[in-house]
Amino acid sequence: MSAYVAKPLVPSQDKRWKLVDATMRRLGWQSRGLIETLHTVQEAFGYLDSDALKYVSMSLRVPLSQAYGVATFYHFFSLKPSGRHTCVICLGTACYIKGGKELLAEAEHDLAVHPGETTANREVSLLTARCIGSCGLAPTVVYDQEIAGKVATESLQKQLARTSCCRLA
Amino acid sequence: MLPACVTGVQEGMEVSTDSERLQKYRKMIVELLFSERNHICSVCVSNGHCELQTLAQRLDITHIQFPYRYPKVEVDASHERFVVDHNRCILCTRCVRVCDEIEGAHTWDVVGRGIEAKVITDLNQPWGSSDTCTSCGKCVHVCPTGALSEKGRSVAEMHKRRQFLPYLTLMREERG
Repeated sequence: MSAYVAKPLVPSQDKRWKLVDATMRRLGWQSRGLIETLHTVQEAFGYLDSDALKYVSMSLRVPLSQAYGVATFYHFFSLKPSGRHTCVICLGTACYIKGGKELLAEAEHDLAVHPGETTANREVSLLTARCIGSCGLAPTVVYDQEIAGKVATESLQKQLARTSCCRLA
Repeated sequence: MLPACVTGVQEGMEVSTDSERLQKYRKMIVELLFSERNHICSVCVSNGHCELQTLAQRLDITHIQFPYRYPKVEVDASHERFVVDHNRCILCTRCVRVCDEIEGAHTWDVVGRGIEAKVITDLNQPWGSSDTCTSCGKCVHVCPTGALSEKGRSVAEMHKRRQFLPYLTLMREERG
């Protein structure tokens, strides 16, 4: 016994929804395609808002709370739009011992945000990683997809100051 | 020590489920549950009818050897009949399972991971504003602690009734 439920309406006229639809179609609108579809939304829009989560979960017949749980469980997904730059500080064991903790404290202080947040001027998002697999370079920071190894507090300070547009003293 | 759920039965096996070492570990686990959130029995709706409390009493726990975390977590009383107090939640996820497997609504789920995990309704919205909740109350009655309770209950007044639950599933199976 299964009732026919019409596909939900696309949240907006945005063309990027076509990419999302394409992913869901490729996976046969099956609920197990949830993570892959959320990947597409994340890559197309940069974050998952509640409209996107509702649309995907209704289309794939996944409970809303489950979709939300998945979106918050994986670090890859973000529920808020990210800044123009991303600064990922590795807190894996090696990086942590070699000073990752201090780097994070420095970045938190300089940007005045907590990990996972974006500065008020939408310039920099501060993130943390469990391990990026470059333990030999500890402590590492990934700034805009570029890995920097053996990072000193001063160089991180400079990097942040350069990109976050004179916000810092 | 072997986990019971994945250990196969073998001939000549000798099983002990109540050694001193096991008691020590059990105590430790329950103490960790107590230290994780704010469990204060004396003001709890489930005082005297709480599974966590009963377990602690059975294990002779008189004090907690770990430092309390005292996290700041909220109480959501937006639902017209029920209240969720995250201070008393031990994340057993019975509410999630009963809502999904028996009621079929899947209003509850776990959000986040590790120490930050908590149970939520729909898109992390107030329970009262949930579109999927059928207000059936199954989650309230399977909750082992006072985390989920009926509104208007005072200290020690929340009795959980879950005798009907096995029958629900059995009757459904009968009907095919």
